[in-house]
Amino acid sequence: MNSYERLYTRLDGGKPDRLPNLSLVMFFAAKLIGVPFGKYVSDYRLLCEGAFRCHEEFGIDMFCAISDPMREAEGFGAVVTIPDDNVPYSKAPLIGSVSDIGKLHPIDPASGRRMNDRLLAVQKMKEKAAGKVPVVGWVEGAIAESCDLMGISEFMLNIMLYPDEIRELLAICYEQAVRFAKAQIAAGADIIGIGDAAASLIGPALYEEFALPYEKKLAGEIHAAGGLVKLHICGNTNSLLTLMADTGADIVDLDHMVDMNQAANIFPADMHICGNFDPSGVLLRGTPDRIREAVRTCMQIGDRNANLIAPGCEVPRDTPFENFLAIREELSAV
Amino acid sequence: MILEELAIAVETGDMKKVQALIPQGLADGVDPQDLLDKGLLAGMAALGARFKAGEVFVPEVLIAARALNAGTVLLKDKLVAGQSVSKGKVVIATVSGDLHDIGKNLVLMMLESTGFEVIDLGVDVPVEAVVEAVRENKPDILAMSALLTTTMAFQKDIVEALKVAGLRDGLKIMIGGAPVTQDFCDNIGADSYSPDAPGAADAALALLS
Repeated sequence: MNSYERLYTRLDGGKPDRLPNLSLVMFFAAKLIGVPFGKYVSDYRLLCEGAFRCHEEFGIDMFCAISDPMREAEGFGAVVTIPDDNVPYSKAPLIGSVSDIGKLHPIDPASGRRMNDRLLAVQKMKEKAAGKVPVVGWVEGAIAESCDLMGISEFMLNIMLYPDEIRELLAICYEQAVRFAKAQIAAGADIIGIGDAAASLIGPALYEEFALPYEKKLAGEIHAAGGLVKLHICGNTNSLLTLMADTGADIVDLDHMVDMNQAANIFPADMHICGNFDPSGVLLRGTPDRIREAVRTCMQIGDRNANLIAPGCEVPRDTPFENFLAIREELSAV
Repeated sequence: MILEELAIAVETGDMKKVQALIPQGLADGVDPQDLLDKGLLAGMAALGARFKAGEVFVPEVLIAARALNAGTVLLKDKLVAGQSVSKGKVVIATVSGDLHDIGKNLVLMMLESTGFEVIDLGVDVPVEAVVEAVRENKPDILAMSALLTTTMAFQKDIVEALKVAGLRDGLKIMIGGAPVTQDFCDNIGADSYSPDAPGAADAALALLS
């Protein structure tokens, strides 16, 4: 089976030759191809090279255009610093206060420098994939993008102090995410990852009011445009699982502290769980044997939801090759 | 009664009520130290326990911290120097190359509400700056945060640099952050690891007991 057949067979409830490996690579891929991270996130050709090599050498069953959270923020007009070999960031938030929200306007993704760079990455991935590897695009969810624009602490305060204004901000970020997701699907993405990391910090009551409606609507728009949805919320989402079950996502990434068994009990059977061993304590710092054991555990406990295998979050930059290879080896051994 | 009300106002993040209760308490002759310890800090400690139990989350903690800070500003000139017994002095920082501050700030709030004096070095703090801050402030505890697997190694560099500088003995070192584990803590020769902010305050108390 090729990667496309493997993933879609699993998603359709069939039995693939082995479980799909959907490990997320960013910094690791840049290091693998020998370029500083600043260049990797700025040039789609390098990002594609990293994705292609990770597919070929480590058995990742997708080409994924994820790199960093700041592409849309830059498109909105934030001044984004791209360090030579570190993660892009904004020194000063674009939105200093809730009164600045009205100045924000969603843009045509093709007109944003690094948003367009991601579209070019997706196009190149689609060409290379030739129907044999799923192509995964990526957008920031409304909560995550709001934090990128406002600063995470300010957002967390303002969600309590100015809920109406925050709803306005979320609606703008949601609209940008819809445009970006549709543009990536048009460019060839089969699946769109929605990164909404900060949503794990707000608890179920605020999640239900401020995160779920936008994630759900975004998933609906992606489905309508012909894509599948991979929801990625890093961190401890145990208290959110019941609500996440209602997002309509096809694949839900679970970080390593989330109880996969509980998720399988809560999620509908056609909502696929992806995860979820510890990226740092196990993948980066463990041994190949330890990693194989962790992969086996994940394979057993999530089977009810036709699960997919990955560490709980990004593969760390300095992960030893033999550790990363152990994931593929264990998946192939069963 | 007013102390209970004050604690509840902090716990619910009601800044305006805190700003009303502090002057009222002072006018009624309540000891300013009690307004701080049994009112403001007690409220924050209660919220910290609920945070640890998963009953409240980051926004509720930040809104409570805002109310707490508004209260401490009003008490600043009223407190008698030396009357407050600090549980110990902590220097806290997010390590070099890492701009994440929310975890560090939550730990800071929990430490302060537990009665520690905390000196915040901020984020992206170079190894040398941490060593210099330890030399200058002579803390009981150094607390370090790293959210990235690419920056957690600086926690080890700092432990080593403190040894070279002759500052490791007598200093307790706590580490935290999403990728950090107890195994990593043991491996780099730090003294304590906590997976969450309220746990960090408990760990700090245990280190100095």
